[in-house]
Amino acid sequence: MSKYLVNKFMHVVNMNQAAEEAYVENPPGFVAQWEKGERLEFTAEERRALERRDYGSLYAMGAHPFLLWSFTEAIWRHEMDREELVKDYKEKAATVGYPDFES
Amino acid sequence: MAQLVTMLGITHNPFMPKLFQQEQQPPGAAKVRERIAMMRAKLARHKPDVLITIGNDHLHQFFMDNMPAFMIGKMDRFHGTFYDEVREFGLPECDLAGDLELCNRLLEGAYQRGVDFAYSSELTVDHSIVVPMMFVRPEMDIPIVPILTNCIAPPLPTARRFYEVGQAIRSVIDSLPDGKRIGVLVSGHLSLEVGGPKQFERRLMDADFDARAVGWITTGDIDAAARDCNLEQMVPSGNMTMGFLNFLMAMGVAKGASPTHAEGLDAGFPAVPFFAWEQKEEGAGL
Repeated sequence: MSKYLVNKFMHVVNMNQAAEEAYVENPPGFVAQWEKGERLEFTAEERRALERRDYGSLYAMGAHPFLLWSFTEAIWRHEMDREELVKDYKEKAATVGYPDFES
Repeated sequence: MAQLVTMLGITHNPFMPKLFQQEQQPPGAAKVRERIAMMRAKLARHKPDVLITIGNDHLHQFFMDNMPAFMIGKMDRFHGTFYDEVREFGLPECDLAGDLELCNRLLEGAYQRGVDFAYSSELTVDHSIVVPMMFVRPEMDIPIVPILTNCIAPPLPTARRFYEVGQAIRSVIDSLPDGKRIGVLVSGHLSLEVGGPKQFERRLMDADFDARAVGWITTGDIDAAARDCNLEQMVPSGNMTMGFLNFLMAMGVAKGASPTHAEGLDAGFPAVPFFAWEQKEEGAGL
């Protein structure tokens, strides 16, 4: 688990509107392009979760929860009603409780 | 001699500024606004020349590629805040004057007292500084020296270390030769969850933790706080409860003085902290 790199990816997307838009437009393409510029690598599981914008899996893998929520809100807000997103996020998080998020 | 004229501890809930502008507000909002107005009046009454603003960065300026435990902003102007906070919380961008001279004295004075702050000459402050300033000094006309802490990316400094850093800050303030009136503005929270299964619930996350935490501040009981405030103990109270640690730094700054106000307000949200230490008379210390 390279939690650090997942957190770094979320940090970049969350704090930069151009990155956020490019990611949402083509998640697998953006993930591949971004990872090429890094020395570290995602695991296959992490890459798949990011390609699918799968916040439930990212939470379960120990992505930083504060960052993960903000990132999730950024990348789903145009497609999901906020209340529905909050509800689904919480339900998915509840299935795994409190994974260790130290990276 | 410089004097510490007041220290305030307050929420940095980034959703509140926008909430307070809405027509429809939850029932508890009026109580929170009333307390904020009280804190604003306290600050105005003590007329600080400068504010040492203490809060925790939220993985904006701080990141795990190079994570400081405690950092001072070493600049004469500070920008607030970041794109994502404008987007998610609707916070305004703002510009705050700094006090480079006090920053340098704190930095060097702390080194001499065994506290090695990191420093930044390119610091943008996030809601942990911007929101308290919006609340207690919306004019944003008092220069600041921001001190940022790591309450978010484990491993964290110990609870006792937060207190000791506060003690060092106070010791430096008390040794300053100039006549500055210094205020301290600390932000943080009580039990809180963000990004976990209990986030955004309109209730106290852990009423027992909140009551104990307010008790530690009220009695200055750092030993009890240090015993109960490690990460493993705090996460069950809410996965971001560690933001309380900033108030232990305030306890260190207070040097054992009792607060004039200490409260975890139940307003139908996670508890909203309000702490104040004030000079009883001019030149009297807190």
